[in-house]
Amino acid sequence: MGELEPKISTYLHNKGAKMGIPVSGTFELTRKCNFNCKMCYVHCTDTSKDRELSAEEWLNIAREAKKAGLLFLLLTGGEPLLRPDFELLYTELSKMGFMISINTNGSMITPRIFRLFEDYPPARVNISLYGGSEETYESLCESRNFKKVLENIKKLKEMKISVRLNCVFNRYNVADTQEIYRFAKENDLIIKPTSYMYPSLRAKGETGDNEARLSAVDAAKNTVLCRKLTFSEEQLRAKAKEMMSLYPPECDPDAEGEGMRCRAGKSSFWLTYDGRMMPCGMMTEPCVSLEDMSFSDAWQLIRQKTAEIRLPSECQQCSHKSVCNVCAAMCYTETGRFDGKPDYICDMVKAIADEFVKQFGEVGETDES
Amino acid sequence: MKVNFDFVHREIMGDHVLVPVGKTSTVFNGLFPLTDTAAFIWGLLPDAPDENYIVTKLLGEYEIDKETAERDVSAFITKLREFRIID
Repeated sequence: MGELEPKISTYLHNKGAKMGIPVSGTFELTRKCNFNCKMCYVHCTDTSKDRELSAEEWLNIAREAKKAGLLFLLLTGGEPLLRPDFELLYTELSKMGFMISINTNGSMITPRIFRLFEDYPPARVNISLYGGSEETYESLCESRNFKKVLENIKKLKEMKISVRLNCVFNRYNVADTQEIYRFAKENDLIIKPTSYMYPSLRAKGETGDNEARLSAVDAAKNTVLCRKLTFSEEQLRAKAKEMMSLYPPECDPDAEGEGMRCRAGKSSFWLTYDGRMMPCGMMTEPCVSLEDMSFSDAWQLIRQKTAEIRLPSECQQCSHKSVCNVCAAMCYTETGRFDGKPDYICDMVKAIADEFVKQFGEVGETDES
Repeated sequence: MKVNFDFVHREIMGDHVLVPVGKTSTVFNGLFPLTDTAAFIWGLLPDAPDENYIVTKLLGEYEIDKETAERDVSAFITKLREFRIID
């Protein structure tokens, strides 16, 4: 149920990062949504004053981005299928020669959209699956669309469209974890789980918390459960062994924090519904408006500002560095600083390691073995 | 040589790929990488009456001998026929 990125995609992203080419990008077409999820990082209930880019503006940006090297394009929201001009926009973008993936909650795939996907199949549809029952959907998303979403997922599969389930586990749906995995297995679906939730900085303007998220320890337990539902006993034991032999990396104790670890701002960008470019949609800076400059100039500026970002220096000396996926967006949304140590992440990663050792560590095996 | 499917030829950072468009994606789900020579040949296909035409053009573009050009063209055209991209 996991996934492997095609080699050509990895190759192009690595080359893009070296050459400073935006090989992949996200168009956040709207922040409007027909759901009202408690943990959403972008959706606001009052979107009446939003100035969304028009289809023509998106297409002009896409033409510029194509010239700059954009190949892998993710359309997201809010709920992108809410846009009345989605069909026009999607068709024109498809004709330009992008590998298009779509993030959707799966509730608005109408017969017209199915016909559109028949004519222009997306490279992949990522469905955010929020739970395993109508009740969970109601409590988390204020929407009773669970059955409709499942039906739409099955229809997409019948059309041989690649579907991935994006599952963000939180206080409202954590009890459905096994049910969601059962559904994924039964329907041969790829699943991308996360039990970590970013603070809703963009939606609520506050760092440090997300009312829907699990405690760091519970998020760790659910992370391990997700791995348990995916990996073999042998793989889990190997992971536990790795967790038992963690030690601080050798480096200068006064060394500054390392730069961004991911592709954001190196070979990928994010464009908000109102035309602001950022390295990643979870952060609020660096940020450049395309109203003020061309796509290429904005990309150069974002690259430059991304290169200046430094993660916490404490991470350099941390014994859990090799198993921690801390990123700049986490640090920023948790602490308001890129170099601020995100305690929630530290607690979660240490609890993941402890849980692995507790559940899958060989009896009698110690740090010294 | 008529191309039976709809692809957009993209050159990105010096690499060539064919991106399937529309219903072509149901047959070719993913990118189709091309070498420089294959990309050159691909560009000639709609106007090319036969392989000899492509060989002649290839010899005008690259410093290679006729035998190598014929071998390269034949290999690529055979591959395209295998995938039914051309008849």
